[in-house]
Amino acid sequence: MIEVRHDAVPERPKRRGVGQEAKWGLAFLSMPSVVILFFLGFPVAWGIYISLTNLALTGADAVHPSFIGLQNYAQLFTSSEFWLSVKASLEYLIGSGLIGQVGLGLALALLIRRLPVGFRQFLMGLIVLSWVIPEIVTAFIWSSYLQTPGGLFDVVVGLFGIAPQSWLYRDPMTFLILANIWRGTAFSLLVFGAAIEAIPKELFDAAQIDGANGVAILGRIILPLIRNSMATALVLITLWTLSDFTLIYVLTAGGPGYATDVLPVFIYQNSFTYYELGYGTALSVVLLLIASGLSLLYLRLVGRDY
Amino acid sequence: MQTKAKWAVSSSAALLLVSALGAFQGSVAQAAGKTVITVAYEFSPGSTTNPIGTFLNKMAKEFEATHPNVIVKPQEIIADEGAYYTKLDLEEQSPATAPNVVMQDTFLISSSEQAGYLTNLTPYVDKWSQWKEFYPAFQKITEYDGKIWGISNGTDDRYLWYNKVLFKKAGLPVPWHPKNWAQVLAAARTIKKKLPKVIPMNVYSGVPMDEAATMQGFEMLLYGTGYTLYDYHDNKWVVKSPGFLHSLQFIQTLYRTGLGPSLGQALNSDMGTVVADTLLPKSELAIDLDGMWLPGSWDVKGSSSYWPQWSKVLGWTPMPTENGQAPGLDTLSGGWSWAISAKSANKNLSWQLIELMTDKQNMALYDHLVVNLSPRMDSATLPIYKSTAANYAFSTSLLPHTFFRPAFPAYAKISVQIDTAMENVMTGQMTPQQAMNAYAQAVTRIVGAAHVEALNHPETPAQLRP
Repeated sequence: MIEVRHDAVPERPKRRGVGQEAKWGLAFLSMPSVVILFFLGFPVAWGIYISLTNLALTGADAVHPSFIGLQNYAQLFTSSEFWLSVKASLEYLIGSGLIGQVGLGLALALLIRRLPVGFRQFLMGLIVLSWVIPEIVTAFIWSSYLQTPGGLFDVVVGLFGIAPQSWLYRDPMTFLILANIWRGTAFSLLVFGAAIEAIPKELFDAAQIDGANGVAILGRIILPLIRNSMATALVLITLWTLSDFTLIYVLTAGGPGYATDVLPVFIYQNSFTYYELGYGTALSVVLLLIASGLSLLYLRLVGRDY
Repeated sequence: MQTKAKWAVSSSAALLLVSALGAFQGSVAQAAGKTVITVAYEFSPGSTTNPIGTFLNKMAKEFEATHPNVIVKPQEIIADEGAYYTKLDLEEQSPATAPNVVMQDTFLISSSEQAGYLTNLTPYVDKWSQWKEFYPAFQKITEYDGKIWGISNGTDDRYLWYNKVLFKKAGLPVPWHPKNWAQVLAAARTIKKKLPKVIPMNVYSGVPMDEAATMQGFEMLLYGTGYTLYDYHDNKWVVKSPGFLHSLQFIQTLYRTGLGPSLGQALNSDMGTVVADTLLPKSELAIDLDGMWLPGSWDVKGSSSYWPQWSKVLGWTPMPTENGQAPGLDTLSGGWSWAISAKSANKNLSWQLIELMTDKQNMALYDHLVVNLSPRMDSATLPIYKSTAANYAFSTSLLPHTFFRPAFPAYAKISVQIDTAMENVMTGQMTPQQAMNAYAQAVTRIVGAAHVEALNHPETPAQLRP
């Protein structure tokens, strides 16, 4: 700890406007606080209230919903479809978010730093391109890529003597995970790339002089120094992956059966296909809790400065 | 200070822009002080023809000619069937978005009425001289709770379509008149063996096809087993029955033994368009359990789906009952109607527009364009009606045997549960027995245990029909 000696700090010239400035500051702060309360706090509170009713999109419950307490939650936790949906969400999160985007992103960031600058920039450009493409476009690219018959994927595996198949029905989750890794890895690559770049070169030089090998450099220098970026990437990627809808809806719409029925798609189906808005909202509240829980967990485990 | 000034200037500019946009939108809606009457209807993505749009544009011109201060604006809602109902429900919740006139599937009349989305048309109908021209069955189809909520604009029925050219190639008889389900499946197996590149048979199935899977698919099977969805004698939903199980087993056989389309094709909300615009015209599908309206897109000259040879290539025959039991065939009728949103302004003008759209001449024109049967007795005598598609007389001949879907508010939710049961079976995730049990659970949750039952004996006439 460095002690700050107050008498050493040169006194700021007193201005008449200091109190005024604080007031302005508060005034400016209050505006966004009200906005956040109104646009974030109110919808969440309203959502929690709706989740305790049987509000529907059609039928008598659309005009006169009744307050049914925790019935939606009781129904949800005893329904096998909900647990299938949680399972699909976790598979998608672990496969495409954690192992795929975070793991692969970190691996790529480590590999790419050894490349010559020009080539590295070219490669980064290519990878970032997949992140810049709007999600709906990515979804349709993958949809046509995996299309049967005649999709490019069939043509490629056909070279190895594999017969054309309905890939998205044979092994739906694997292909969804691949598509989401393809789309999202660039983000963690950018985050990790920048964090590694910021580590002072001297540390690597010193480590090499001390005879540290690659594993030691990774474990003792790189990982501890990019902890905060890691926490940021983990939290953001988890939140994005858990709430991902477009890619899955376009490719499989949650099917076949419940194989890829991740929570956001399941929520959509219950609310807008089965018309059960109250139940769908209860599911959303559960998703909100899962996402917040995971984020807090990461920050405790990985983040230091949060 | 300078930044503050800039901030003030830019924010007021933004405010001005926003209010200007609002004013602009308002001015478009109220074009030159005229009243706008919107008419919402469904347009399936990928459709190559738009017969309802064609009809509504013509109606708009006719109506505007006699009502110079009115603009009739057809509002095309681009959505597959399930999403159309959802979008409509959402629009109807607010006076700002509710269309004036809506095209409403008759099976949703009761649930939409209960949700407060529709206007009671009884006072208008009571004063309407034309109402007596409607067949009683089609006056009833839009009635709920003793009141009229829509004016039927056409009805339809369903049966088997088959490709005569493919049947001859496979050595199957033409004309084809299967007497039971086994004979239908046997023909499909012959096609699979003799013409391996052709899809033997399509029965719509699964959640993406929504009501088409329920009605053209499952109910066409179920209502031929001696069991139905609803017992009109005990006033209960039949959630378990041998007929329900056998219908799911038919779906299982079709999709799990390679007699149906691939899951990739079948579990796509575009399947209806793909069947009508590609699979049937290109002779890639041999048997199709489908609606009478199919020729609607084939008879439109100049459209990419124009297919003048359709009546020579395709044949049609009734869907037989499961074991050939009397009456030997089954079919279901649905149909749509024109209704007025509860939250719409200008209800009188909306009603006048409906009067115009459903008069003798225009009803015949509409049903000619969409290939539906007219709910009006007098329209059927008009030349334009008689000149409609080659399958028209056959479709009409099946009507005495037709069933209607249970017209209760819960049906909208139950219908999707049927699609879910079908999807669980066709994807192999559940056996028919498991899927039926899951269906029973879901329906019990929707209507309550007091309103469901399991049946083991075929239904009596009193149970079958209201």
